[in-house]
Amino acid sequence: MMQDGEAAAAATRLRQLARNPELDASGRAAAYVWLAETRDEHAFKRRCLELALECEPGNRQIQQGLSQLRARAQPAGMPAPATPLDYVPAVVGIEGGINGRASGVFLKASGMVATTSYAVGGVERLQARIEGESAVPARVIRRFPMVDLALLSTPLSLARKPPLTPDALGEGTTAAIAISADGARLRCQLRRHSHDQAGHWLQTNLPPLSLPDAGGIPLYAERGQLLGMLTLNVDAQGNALGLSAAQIADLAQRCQRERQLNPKAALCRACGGLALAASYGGRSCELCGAALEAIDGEQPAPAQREQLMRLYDEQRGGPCPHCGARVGIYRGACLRCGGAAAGDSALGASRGRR
Amino acid sequence: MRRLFKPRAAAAPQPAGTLDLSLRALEGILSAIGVEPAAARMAVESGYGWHFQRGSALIELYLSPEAEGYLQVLSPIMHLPASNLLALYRRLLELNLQLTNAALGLHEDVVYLYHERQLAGLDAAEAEAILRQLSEYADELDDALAAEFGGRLYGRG
Repeated sequence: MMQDGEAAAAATRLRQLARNPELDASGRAAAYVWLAETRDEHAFKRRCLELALECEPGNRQIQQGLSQLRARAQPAGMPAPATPLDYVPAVVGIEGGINGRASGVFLKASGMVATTSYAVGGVERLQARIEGESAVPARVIRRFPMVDLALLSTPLSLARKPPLTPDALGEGTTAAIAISADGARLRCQLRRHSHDQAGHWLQTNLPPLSLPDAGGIPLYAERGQLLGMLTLNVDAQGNALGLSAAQIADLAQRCQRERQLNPKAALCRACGGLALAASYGGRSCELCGAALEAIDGEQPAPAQREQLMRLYDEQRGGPCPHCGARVGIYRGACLRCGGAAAGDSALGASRGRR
Repeated sequence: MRRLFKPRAAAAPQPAGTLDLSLRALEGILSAIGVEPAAARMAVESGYGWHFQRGSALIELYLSPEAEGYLQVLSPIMHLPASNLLALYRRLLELNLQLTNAALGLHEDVVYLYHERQLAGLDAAEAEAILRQLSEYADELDDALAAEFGGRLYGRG
């Protein structure tokens, strides 16, 4: 088809295939690989192969293709990143985030890295650096600002699983060592946050000023298990809080599930969630309302009003008796016009979520 | 590196001497209100930035380097909660009408209190009043909004 000069039509068909949720990961990866061949631009090819690798992280041919593309783009003298790494680095340097340099830690052999949401902010494309290796591009795939966690994908893969053992933290106080990307080693004591019922946070005895970067510094037990990650958030005593490895592991699993269930969803740079609106031609994130940016080199999808209304949750409940909006009520008043609700049944009580 | 919310790229850069004058004036104002300027300094993309605590509120100050120098004062309040955002957005807009010399806004996933004015004519008494008022608003609103809508207070667990 492409040899007949119908590259544009082929690209459209391949895009549809690559986004088809009924196609398995291998099929979608193949579609992205073929899509890369429809254009000559280096950045486009690289983007396609990155997406292919996200579909099929273990595919060596795609990894090699991507490495070759990146090697071509790197300055002379810089070695291409070795993939897969035959060791698990204790810490990853993260550069290019809104709040300066940060540390991070590998969570999965597929190259997923955790750092702080504070460090990356609304930036999506970053650089990950491992001591002794050249820097590689990293992309934010999900942020959870409520617990100050950002998850990044990198083209790196590890030959071994990282030492993430969610239950490694015992009761009481545990000695730990924090290793930052610039080589600083901070010894500290950890214990579960007494006021945190959910057990997300770990109390430390470190003042945040002692942290050398914007957080994401892995906390290791003496035997090398990952206990959590240091953040710049503080407890009531002003000591830095860590995020527990159990919480990080849970959210990494959740992120993977979300991406499998909604392969068309894209990162909202404002809230860090995975938004589907753009794939239906919507301009605003259905999770936070922020304006969504167009994906480089891609035409925006035509607006699909029915799907968007469902996505923006505008079909539940009856209309407001004052303005007719179906946006819902909060504290007995219409969220659009502020008029008093005639009765919950008229507006749909389900929208007043408190 | 922190970034100003409203970079004014089109404006001509302020002559270095004038910016130094504004900088010295602002550092004098900070000293007058009990903040050690050198300790509070932070790195910013352009101009100058400081951050410090006033009560429970974190205050950030930015001095922009344009011809007409601007002072931006802001206080990050809370991270957006995961649900009930429409109601929260409505409440923020309602509160905006009740605030004096301050506005509520969003940057990425954080709710901010914000004030901006030109540097010309700003003296220590006025700067202190701005900071005091913003800190009081921040103190009052952070707990109230977090209690009503959920959401993590900025910089807290």
